[in-house]
Amino acid sequence: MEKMQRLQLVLRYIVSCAGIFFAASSIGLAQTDSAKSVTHMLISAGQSGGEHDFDFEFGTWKTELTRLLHPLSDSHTWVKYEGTIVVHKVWNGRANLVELEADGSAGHFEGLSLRLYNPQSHQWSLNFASSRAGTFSQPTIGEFKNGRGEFFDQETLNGRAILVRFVISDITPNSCRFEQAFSADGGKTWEVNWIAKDTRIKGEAD
Amino acid sequence: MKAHRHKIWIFLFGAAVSLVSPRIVLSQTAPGSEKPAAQNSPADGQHDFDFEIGTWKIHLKKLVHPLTGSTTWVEFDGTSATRKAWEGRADVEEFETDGAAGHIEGMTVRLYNPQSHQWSLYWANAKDGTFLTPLIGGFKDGRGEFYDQEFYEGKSIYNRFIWSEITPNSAHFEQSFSTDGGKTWETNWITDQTRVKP
Repeated sequence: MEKMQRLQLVLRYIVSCAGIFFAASSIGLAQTDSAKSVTHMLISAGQSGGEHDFDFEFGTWKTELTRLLHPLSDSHTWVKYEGTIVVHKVWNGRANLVELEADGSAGHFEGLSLRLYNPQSHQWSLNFASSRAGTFSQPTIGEFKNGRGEFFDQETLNGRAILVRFVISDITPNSCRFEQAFSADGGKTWEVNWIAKDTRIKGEAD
Repeated sequence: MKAHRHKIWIFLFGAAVSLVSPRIVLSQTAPGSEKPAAQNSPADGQHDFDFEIGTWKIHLKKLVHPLTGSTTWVEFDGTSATRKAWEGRADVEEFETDGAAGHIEGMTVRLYNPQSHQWSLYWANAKDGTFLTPLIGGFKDGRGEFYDQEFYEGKSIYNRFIWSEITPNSAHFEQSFSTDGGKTWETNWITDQTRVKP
């Protein structure tokens, strides 16, 4: 159970990271190749509501993932994975579906992330499932600001309530970064346990 | 609606104070256990809310419009009574205050989880008649911090309860909201309580 839970969390981080990268990339492709314009687009997307904040990510990506095996245990054992991420547009961008497959020394995993835009709150919820768990876990919820997406929720790790943060950053047309972190002290300190760096392979239409 | 959470507390016994102080004994540390050490906060916290048992006079200050930049506060006075359940591993608090802004009747149920050593605090306002998402946490060095994620006016936020300044006959409680993942907090509910009866 604990392993599955951890794996799920890790997967979610990865998927989220991939999502960020994709989003940045898509925006860049649609417009110009400069990261600046990507940021501008993200900002304006945020101002207009946020429903296009994940447009950058549509397409296919290579992901390099490292994850901390035992979060919140003072362990520093990280494992590496490499994999592929495909992000599909749903509802003309107001939702998207991320498929993730990755392999590493710690094994093979398959993940899904369904991101939904709430037009009333202007927030996104990121719903993650691993094929191993076969069910969605608690969504992280948040939004993009100045080209950076931050999503939060409260979950249970080894029976205890913790806070979870998922960050999508460094978005360019062809790359992005995802980080998941846990906090056992109400957000005063965070331990990063999932880092994914994604690089675009194909755009949405390719 | 969510803003109407409150807390009331005080230490009844000097012993309660010592209970609240950090306890370092872990119930089980089996070799090879995957339980993260950092997660294993002090073991037995089942008496951490004993201080709250009894009847209290309450003064409440409440921010009228949380998360809007407004700094308009309203004040209430009233009473709160907490009784023990399950020999202290749970309790029920009834809360009633009045002020210029109206009448508030509330209830808090607190449950201790002996596996995680964390408390869950469930608040209900009589005008809604339903429990909200519980805040979960515990005490360290005489200060209790409890958190949850919830929705305030449709938006996902973090909510935080803090119990502090606990003496046998007084206690301080604050509720705060964060819209940035806990980087900054806006306090919107403050109670100070004075013991009336054990």
